[in-house]
Amino acid sequence: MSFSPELVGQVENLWTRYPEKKAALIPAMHLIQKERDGWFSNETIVDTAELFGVPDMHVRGIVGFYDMFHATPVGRHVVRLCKTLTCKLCGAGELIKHVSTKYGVKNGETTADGRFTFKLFECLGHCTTAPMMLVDEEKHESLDIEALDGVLEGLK
Amino acid sequence: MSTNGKTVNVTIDGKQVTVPAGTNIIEAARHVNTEVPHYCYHPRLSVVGNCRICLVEIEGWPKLQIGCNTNVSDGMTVFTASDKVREAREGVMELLLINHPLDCTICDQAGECKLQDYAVDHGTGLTRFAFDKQKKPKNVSWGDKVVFDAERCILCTRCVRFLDELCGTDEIGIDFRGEKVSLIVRDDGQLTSPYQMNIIDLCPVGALTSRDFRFKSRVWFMQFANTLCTGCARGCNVVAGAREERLLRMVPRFNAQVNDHWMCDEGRLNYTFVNDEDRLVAPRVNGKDVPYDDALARAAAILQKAKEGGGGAADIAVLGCASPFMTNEELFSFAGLLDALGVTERRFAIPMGEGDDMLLHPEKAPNARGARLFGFQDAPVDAERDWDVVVHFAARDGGGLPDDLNAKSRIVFSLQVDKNADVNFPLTTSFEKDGTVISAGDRLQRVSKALTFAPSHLTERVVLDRLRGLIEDGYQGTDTAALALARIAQEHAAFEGLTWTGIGLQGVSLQLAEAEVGA
Repeated sequence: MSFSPELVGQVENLWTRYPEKKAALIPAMHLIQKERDGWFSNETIVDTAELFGVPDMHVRGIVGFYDMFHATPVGRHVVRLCKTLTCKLCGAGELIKHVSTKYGVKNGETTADGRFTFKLFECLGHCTTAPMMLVDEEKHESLDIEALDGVLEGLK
Repeated sequence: MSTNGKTVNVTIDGKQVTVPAGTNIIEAARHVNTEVPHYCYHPRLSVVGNCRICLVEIEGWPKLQIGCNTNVSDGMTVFTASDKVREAREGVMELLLINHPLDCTICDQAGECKLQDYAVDHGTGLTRFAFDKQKKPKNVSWGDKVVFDAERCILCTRCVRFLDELCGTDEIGIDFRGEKVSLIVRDDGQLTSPYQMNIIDLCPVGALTSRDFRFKSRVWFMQFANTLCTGCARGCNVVAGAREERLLRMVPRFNAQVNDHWMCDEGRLNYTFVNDEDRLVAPRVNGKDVPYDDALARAAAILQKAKEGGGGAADIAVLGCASPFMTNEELFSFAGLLDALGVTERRFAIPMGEGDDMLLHPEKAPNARGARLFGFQDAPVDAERDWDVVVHFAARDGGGLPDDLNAKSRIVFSLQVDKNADVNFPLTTSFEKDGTVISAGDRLQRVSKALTFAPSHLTERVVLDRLRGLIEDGYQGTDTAALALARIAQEHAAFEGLTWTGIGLQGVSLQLAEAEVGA
């Protein structure tokens, strides 16, 4: 399966910014992941490798190494809750427990209705407004249980 | 490495040396016989610099540098064993061993493991790591040739780069990161490359082991011989390892002119015929084991009759059938015997198979060039004809002659018993004798004895020489392959001036075309 012409255009644009194509792999892979339902299937990995002219095992290694790429199918949304020191001190632990009891998902799991995949993340860089989480590409800060439910229940 | 003929002067541990520009510190240090320890660096693979054990100190540079990824420059002063370097290496060793299972007692690599060697040479023998080690999969099958142990792996990625850069199959990758990191194989986890077993030699630790050699022997109990793989005409240089007169493995030996650092799996695993239980170990006459003297007398009688009848003349037809598995010295002795008998019908057959553009040669025998040089033709034998005597050196698979050949008397040299033979002499393999062969590209190379065949057996060359002595009054053979080679050098222009020691472990190139034309 080939990529959409728009995506290929964006990747080609990325290539102009680096000394070699391979260097644009990570920004390009974010675009590719978005187009391919949020995760890298074997087929997507092979397609990416072909587009870049690198071994597919190299792309596989990148998917395995970086937390923001997924090697297994994900829900319609990806919820990343920060679990690092500041957020933990400000109550992230409570939120994790709440998500587990109310929505039935632990770290890395997807809700039964496929609405979202829940992931615990290392520091997302918003310690001043801890605890915080990232839903897809949108951040939600100064969370408590009520605010968290408001966000998660609003997801389609 | 582009040198453009430029050189640079460097000082390594106080020794001055001039090396080509673009040489890295590990290679430059080799010029002054200093080994900079390294795991991930290999001269034929790209430099990744991930193991960090090759750290060296360079005068005027604030931090230690890795020797593999730092090229020498003119006037550079390098210290490979200063206190700073020693301390850094101890740290690297401690780090590499943090999650290492230390299962040397059950590890095949023990005795030839870089992790062991460097732990002794550069480690402290102590660890400050007080926690549980990572548990990872062990005894993971990567197909029928390679077994992977994730706990022993230090992630140098030599195997990844070999299959990517030299084989083009890029089958191995690295998955996850940090403490969970591990090698993975594409799709169903089975390697496919016909050169995959080279990663076992490349692996500096015991993470990749050979399914064939696993648990067969401790390497320090084995004897090793520098010889050749005789699976095809390439003549890849190998080290053959034997224990208690059984051949256990072959690993490639570096020869820039022939096989570089590598060999194919087909050749590597093509040795088990040496250990066959049903090998012919003593000469036989009419189906009974007999002493050599009796077998030689019987064979001589058959040949004497043929000689008196006129050799290859129409009244008595004699066929000499050589094999491309014979050494030059044996072929020379065989040709001499046939000369003494006046036999002109001299044949041999080359077993053919698959070749590729790396090492595999389609001729599946080591010395077809030698057989041609000593006057044997790779032409079909006339099966219609009624032969009186056939002297036959069987190929490894026993073949070489048409099945329906009509022959009154047969003198056969074979690995297994030949029921049709009147006189049957045991054949030795290339691992059981010394000699020379002419590999592809007309390269003369030595095969050397790695193990002893049946006690007090006579090699084919000695048998041939003694037979000739029984037929030709006053003929004296030679005692050793080196002396036989000296005799060949006197008689064959192509071998002029060549000696056993002169050929050395790497072989020499022959100018065959001219010699054959001249002969």
